[in-house]
Amino acid sequence: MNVGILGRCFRFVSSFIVPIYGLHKQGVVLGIWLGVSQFSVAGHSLLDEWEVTGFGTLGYAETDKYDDLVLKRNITQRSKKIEDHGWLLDSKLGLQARKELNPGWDIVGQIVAQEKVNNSIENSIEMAFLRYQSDDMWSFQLGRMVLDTFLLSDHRNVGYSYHSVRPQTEFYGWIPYSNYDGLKTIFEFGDFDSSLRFEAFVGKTKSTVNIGYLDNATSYNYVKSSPIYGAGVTWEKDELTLRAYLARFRFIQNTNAINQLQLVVSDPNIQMAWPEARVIADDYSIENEFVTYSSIGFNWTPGPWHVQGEFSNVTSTFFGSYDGQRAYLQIGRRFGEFLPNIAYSYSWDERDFPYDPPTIPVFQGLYGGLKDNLNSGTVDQSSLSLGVRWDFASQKALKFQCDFATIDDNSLGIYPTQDTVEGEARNWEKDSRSWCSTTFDWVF
Amino acid sequence: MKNIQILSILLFFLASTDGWAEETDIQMIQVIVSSQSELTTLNRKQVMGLFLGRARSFPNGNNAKAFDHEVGSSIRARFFEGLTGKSISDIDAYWARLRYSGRASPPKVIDNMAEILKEVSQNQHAIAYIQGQDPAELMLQDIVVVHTVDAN
Repeated sequence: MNVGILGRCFRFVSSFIVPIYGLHKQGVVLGIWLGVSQFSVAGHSLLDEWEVTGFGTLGYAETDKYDDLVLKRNITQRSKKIEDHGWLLDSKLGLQARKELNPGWDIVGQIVAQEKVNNSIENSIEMAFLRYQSDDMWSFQLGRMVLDTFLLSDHRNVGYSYHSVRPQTEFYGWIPYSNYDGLKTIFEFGDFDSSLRFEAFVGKTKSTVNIGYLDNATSYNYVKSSPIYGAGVTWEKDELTLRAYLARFRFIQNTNAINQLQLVVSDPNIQMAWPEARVIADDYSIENEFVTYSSIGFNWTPGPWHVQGEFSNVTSTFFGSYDGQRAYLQIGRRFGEFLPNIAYSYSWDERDFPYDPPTIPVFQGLYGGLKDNLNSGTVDQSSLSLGVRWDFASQKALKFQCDFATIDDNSLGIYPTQDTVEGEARNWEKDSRSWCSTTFDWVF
Repeated sequence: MKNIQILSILLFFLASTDGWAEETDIQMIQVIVSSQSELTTLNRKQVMGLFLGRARSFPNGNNAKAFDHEVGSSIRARFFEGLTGKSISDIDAYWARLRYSGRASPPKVIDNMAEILKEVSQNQHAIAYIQGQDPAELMLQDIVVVHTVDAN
């Protein structure tokens, strides 16, 4: 939909670019602003020919089906809110504006309303970047961009663009970040037979997550990483796409939960009687620690078939982080308007708590609490998903899906349990659960 | 009398054949460019690359700008389904993926045949698709048919 009135579009973009970051602090925003201003000065009206489009999902899921586990899409959602409002799990509305400033230059902005711990306007902006395409091969982007570490990362909010109700939770549900502020360079070449695309990025990012069930101050954790950097390569030939990516994030401050933990073990009585408590709490610290994400994935669409799979490995330099390997395979086949699909996803994380319990019985409770913190970063589970997508009208689809999940011992990294008491162990034992969900996805 | 009957049968078949040919021509979708583009033909992969945003240039190295028909239109569905063998819903999902990840935008839409012909005839970088036009008449407007898609 092209809209000739820029007033609205300009206000839309500038409203998030200018106040959000603060021009004095953010060189990135200043760069975008100066770049855009050049075109304005050159006489190209910023008000004309904006391309304004959007996407939406209206969904419902059985989030409150069980009284000992809550279905969540990802860890940026509020557990209790999701439990009480099943329609919030997958529903979202996105608006995107793009303008070609000059041949080779364009600006893109995207804002998405969805359930999140931090639902500020600033935190809802997924994209706001200036792009320069210097030739057929090189392009440079500056500003806020969506993270595309994995195959679906950069469009996971757009339900219409994939077949399942939501990206596989084992693979995507634990990721705290969805975008970053920084610089991205892309180099691509090829012919009409195949193409190769290299990209590299650097920047910083932040997010607020609700790991666990509670909704108090120590349950909502603000995470911030700088620098973050990574590189990837994508090869496309006919109906096959192969992709590999490597990214590294440095956390720059501890979360509320870790600070609280360290405060507790700083008690002189505890330090004197059980010094290892402080060591354990310090090992959870994420400040100045790194997480590395590596992944390979493929997408193959021969004829009516749709096959997609990914494998990723997550490693970190600190103890309490998400760790381990994740993988999924999804197969679907189109029959006219219908696309039934099946997926199996798995997340391995079999880390043990490596510390011996204290000899003094009075500290057994504290030991249990410290040990339980590891469970908040553990995703050791699998899901079998059966679903069907019905493209009943142009750019509109209905989806229905049931997930059968097996959650291993103490794997509470994504799905929280209501059996949660502050400072006590949750003691989740391996069990299976099933949920069904439906969505209406569209783009406009 | 017998000769007349044979002649009638032959005429009937000729007429039927003509009708079939016209119907077939109508079903064929023509990919067109400006004669100034210096292109005479494009193969299926090249047309796919240009209309799916995978290529920004013609095979001769000149910049290319694809134009599309309105989303939801019959010709658009038949063109992409005939060209790619995929459902138009899959094509729309593909473009949603590219557009909302910020990677690329789909071709600009022109939903008026006269405007499409005008754009292509005047713009050596333009490439578009139309249905059932006489190539000789298109040549008079400086437009060349470089590929045809069987959109049965």
